[in-house]
Amino acid sequence: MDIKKVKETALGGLLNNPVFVLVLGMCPTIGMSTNVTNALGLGLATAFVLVFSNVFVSLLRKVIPDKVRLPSYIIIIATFVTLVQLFLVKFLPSLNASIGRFIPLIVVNCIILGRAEAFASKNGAGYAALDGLSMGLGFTCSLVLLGAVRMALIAAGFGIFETAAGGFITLGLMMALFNYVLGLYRNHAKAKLLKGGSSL
Amino acid sequence: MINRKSNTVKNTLKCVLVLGIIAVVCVALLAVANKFLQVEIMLDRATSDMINSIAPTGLDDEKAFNERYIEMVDLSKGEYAIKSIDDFNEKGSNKKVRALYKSKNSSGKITYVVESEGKGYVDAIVLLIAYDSQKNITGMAVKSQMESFWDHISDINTVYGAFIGTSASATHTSSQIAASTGVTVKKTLAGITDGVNVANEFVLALGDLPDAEGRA
Repeated sequence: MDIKKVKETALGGLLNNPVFVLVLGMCPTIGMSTNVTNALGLGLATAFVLVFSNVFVSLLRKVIPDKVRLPSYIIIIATFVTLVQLFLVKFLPSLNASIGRFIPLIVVNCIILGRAEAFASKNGAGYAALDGLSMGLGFTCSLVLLGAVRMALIAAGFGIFETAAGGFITLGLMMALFNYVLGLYRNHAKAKLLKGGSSL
Repeated sequence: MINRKSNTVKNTLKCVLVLGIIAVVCVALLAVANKFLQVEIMLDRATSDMINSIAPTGLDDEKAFNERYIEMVDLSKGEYAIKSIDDFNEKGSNKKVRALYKSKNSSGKITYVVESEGKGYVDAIVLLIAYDSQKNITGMAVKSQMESFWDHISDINTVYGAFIGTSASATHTSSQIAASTGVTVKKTLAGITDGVNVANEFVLALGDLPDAEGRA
């Protein structure tokens, strides 16, 4: 097992955060970040689909011909999205009433297809699962953080943050802050590396 | 050249086969999951409260629910012409009946409430429709909907009013309802109309509906 690769993959959700760095999955991010509960629900649903679709894509990577890889990935992703929807309808109907409209959109969420194409199709099932978990939790945390900030601003009386415009403003500011902090970390890590220490 | 052609055919067949097998496996997985994750319709408190508003028991919501003045009907146990809702519903149809309830008031008079659904613009619109023993609609409510343009219906009571008082033998069209109510959201109105029509067909197919029951 390559420890460095495991570390890189595990930290992928933070250092290559799908929302704040890669800017993927913007539709559910803006739509479902008005409320922490909905954000958490959708984030965890996306994480579940990401982990299992990554694993299956990875297991079938040597079998799926190049020409039909995207349709194959979509079928696999759609299967897990449907499983999530069936689960929500049966066990969490109130959450389904809030976020049900966004669940089918997970199929075309760029994060899922992007990670299947960029990572899962080129790595083993273990790494693919770890990448799915890392990215999924990264997405969930971003959504929840955004949701908490928007909820606080709405509660403070700034109604604009309930709208999509307010969502974009919040997202943009948080993205700037996140990337600034990430830049500081990377510079620090680079400086440490130049001094002879190890980074990442 | 023949070799190249046969390689292309081979590759194409491989692509089709792999895609087909993946699709079949995924469908099988979903079929199994659907069997275990099917939602059973049960009478919950929220539904009971809605039924109490359209088919009043004369009691408060809590008492009506707890003391079973409102209950779900098991068709297999009664003297109804239909023994199961699944037997009535057409497979693959967008409109179907989901459940039958009974609402009894303190003097034992029964109102029947059909839970039905019709396909709106986004997804199913689920209705609760109350009938008296003469099979006339006496009340109506929307249990759930996910319509994008629901706000365009300025007063849903106008839509209810178009159906309340009509007999189950009437078949409605969404254009008639649109003309009488002025509502312009066509697909939503079509979903509501389909829900009412399928409930009407169900009530007619049930046979005689007793209008009272002795109750202490």
